[in-house]
Amino acid sequence: MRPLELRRIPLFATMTPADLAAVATVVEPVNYQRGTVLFGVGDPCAGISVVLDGIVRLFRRTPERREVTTGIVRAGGLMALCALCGEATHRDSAEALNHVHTVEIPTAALHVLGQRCPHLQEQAMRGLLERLDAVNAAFVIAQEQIPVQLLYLLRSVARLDQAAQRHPGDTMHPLALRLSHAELARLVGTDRATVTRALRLLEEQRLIQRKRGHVTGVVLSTPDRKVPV
Amino acid sequence: MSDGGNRKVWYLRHIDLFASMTDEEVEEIAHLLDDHHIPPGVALLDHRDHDRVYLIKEGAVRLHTGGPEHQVTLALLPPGRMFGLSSTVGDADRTINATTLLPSYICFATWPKMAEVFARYPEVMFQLTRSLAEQVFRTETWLARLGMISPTARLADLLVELSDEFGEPSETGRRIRFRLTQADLARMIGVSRETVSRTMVELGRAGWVARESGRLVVRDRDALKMQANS
Repeated sequence: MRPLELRRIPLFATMTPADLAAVATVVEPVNYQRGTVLFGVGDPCAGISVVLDGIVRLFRRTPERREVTTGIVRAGGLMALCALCGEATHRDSAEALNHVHTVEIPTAALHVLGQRCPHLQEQAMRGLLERLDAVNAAFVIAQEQIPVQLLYLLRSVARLDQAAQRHPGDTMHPLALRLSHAELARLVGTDRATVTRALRLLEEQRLIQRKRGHVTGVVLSTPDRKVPV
Repeated sequence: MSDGGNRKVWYLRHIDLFASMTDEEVEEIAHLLDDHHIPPGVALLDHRDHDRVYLIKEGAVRLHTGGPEHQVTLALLPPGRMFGLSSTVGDADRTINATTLLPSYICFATWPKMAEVFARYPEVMFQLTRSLAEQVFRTETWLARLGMISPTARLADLLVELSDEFGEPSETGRRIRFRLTQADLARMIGVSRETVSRTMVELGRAGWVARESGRLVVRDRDALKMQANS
């Protein structure tokens, strides 16, 4: 991989050309099609993964084999954190929600790179704080009713878009990712009928927009309104 | 070095964050940090001060969000963990609060001082990164637990975790070192207090848990683990 291509990833954004060249010799770029499982719980973990493009869903399975979404990772986000803990196997599973492009930094190279480039460690820490914030929010929201959980999920997906981050506002923001009712049901951990009812409620409240059954837009911020359930 | 200074270094020595450092290096760091002994039940985070971080040397701290009626526990932190790095959850109107669960030794530091430590000792930052990753995994585990259908399985799974992380030997099993009400447990597993109450009666009848002097005791960890995985 060319060193300058790495610069567009926040993790490597402040590195010197010499450090980028060192990173470029050890990272491995990988592409995944929509729906591919990147790794599963218990799979060997060779290093941390950084998303270059696309959206990845992290999930775990309960003893009853239900899937629980534990995170949505966008471009620049970190995955396979088990490598940071020196673990040899993955603790969660990851699925590509659209076409995904990642780079993997082998575990052996991590510590050496970290010692050489303190900025890398600082950026990794920032990335982790973002993940921690997201999973804390997901934990709080998971205790709410399904319409609230769905709205949170749709907003999380919408916020992956750079334009949404600049103008969060209370207007309808388009969703780049098309998710069917069945897919939404899987992401939120409920059944399709419940999702359909919840989406109808959100649409009546003008919090989402739909076209031919798919959610095409979501209002990103309504601080003075609670979602009625 | 004074007795207080020796104790400060002793505590730091036993924290993973500084485990690979020499005694001289740990002593140097000890001088940069302010120690405070905090009794249980004290709220720690001052949201007017965004520059402060905290390191738990001894005791335990609960991170939580929401008001008294809707409080959600986000994490229970043992010694060696740092907090105060994030003051909000998701949207800015959900602030994080921290309350001691036990008599605790907490180290206060300003972020510039910690940055100084990281610059001089990159290994400390590496260990902190690792600790943060562990915290992400732990919260993901709590989130995944909410997906379990059976409230009994959820509660059993939580009690095993609490016993492993915060338990101390007692005559009849492992006693969790701090008090947790049924309402606390309910909000950690996404069920009502009444459901926890009924489930605790079931688990008590089976001989797997009990209460001694107001604290929970796990009597049969293996049975609880099997219940969680069924």
